[in-house]
Amino acid sequence: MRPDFHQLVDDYYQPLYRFALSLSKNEADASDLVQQTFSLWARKGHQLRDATHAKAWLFTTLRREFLGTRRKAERFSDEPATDDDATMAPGQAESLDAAEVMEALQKLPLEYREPLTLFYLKDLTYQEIADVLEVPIGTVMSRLSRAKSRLRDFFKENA
Amino acid sequence: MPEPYSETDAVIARKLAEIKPPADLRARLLAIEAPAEAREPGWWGVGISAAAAAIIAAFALLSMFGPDAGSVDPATAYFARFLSGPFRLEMTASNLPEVNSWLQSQDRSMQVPRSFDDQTLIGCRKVSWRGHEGALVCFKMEGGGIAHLVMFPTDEMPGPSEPQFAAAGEWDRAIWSSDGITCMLFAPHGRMPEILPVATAQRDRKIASSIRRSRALVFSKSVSGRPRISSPV
Repeated sequence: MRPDFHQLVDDYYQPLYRFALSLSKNEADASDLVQQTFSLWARKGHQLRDATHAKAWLFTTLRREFLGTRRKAERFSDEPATDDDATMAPGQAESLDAAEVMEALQKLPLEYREPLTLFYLKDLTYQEIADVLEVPIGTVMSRLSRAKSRLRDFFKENA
Repeated sequence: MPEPYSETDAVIARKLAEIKPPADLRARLLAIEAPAEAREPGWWGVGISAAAAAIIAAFALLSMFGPDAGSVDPATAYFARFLSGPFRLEMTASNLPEVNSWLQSQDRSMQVPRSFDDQTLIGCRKVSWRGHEGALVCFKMEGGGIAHLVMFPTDEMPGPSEPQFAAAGEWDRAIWSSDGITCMLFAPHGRMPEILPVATAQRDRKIASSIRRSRALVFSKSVSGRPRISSPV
């Protein structure tokens, strides 16, 4: 059975927005990504054979939309869209506010930022994170480990 | 094996959960709706009986432009919310050929009507509504403010041959269809008269004549400066 559209919005628009914000690094783009994701669901969601995969479908679609936009941005720009340098500014987890935590995540390279944000959102299992990122679960584990290590270094450096 | 969930993990997860989306995002998402769940007879009223259309049109005329305008068609409601929230332009441009060539590169076959030539462009982006793919072009208005033109292929989203009006949120909306494009023009409340004639006057005598009639009927100013209906049809 197809999940109720309103229920899907209520269940997932907030974690999707947080994931989008960590990817796009600004509110307008994050809102756009979430809207585009639900627009695509309205158009194509019925093609999903297993309704229990709706959550993974939404996160996967949002990520693909982000990557597509990013590629187009590279095409229209003289400079390739690169991630910020992985070196992070001072801070400590406990003393940071929510925005600063998001900023710290946003400073990670994309390959670490994606699994780590999804991990902290706590909406997806490791296998679902692997499905969303379209990589093996072992890759998710190793990227998560490195990503957390980078984040720990960041917090330690700034203790 | 996954690493154990640490105290730091818990703190970061908690702080991440504190980040709230923009207040109106949920409403904007709900306005999208799923086509299978919310299939109206037509997106803007197309497909309903002529009698029902006449009643709705009369109601729309009576209620348009007022701050308490009643419910509008789902597409207008959706784009009114969309335009009021933060959104991203995919390209900035100062002339129509640039915009039109970008739209073509994005598989949007529609072209901005030439009557918008004299408008000060800001930029554009792709939009979609219920699976229909369209484009949004933003213009600076003389005297400040921004007007937005939303375009869809008429064969997918038919529109009236003469402009029709509604109010939604902070916007007044005009909709008309010509040359295979359905145009929805959004201007800040009370400012449609400034841009609609300019935008459509050169385009189509029929439309221009309708605008003149609409202006005579609709755009008389109240004492407060807000437009109101002086002679509803």
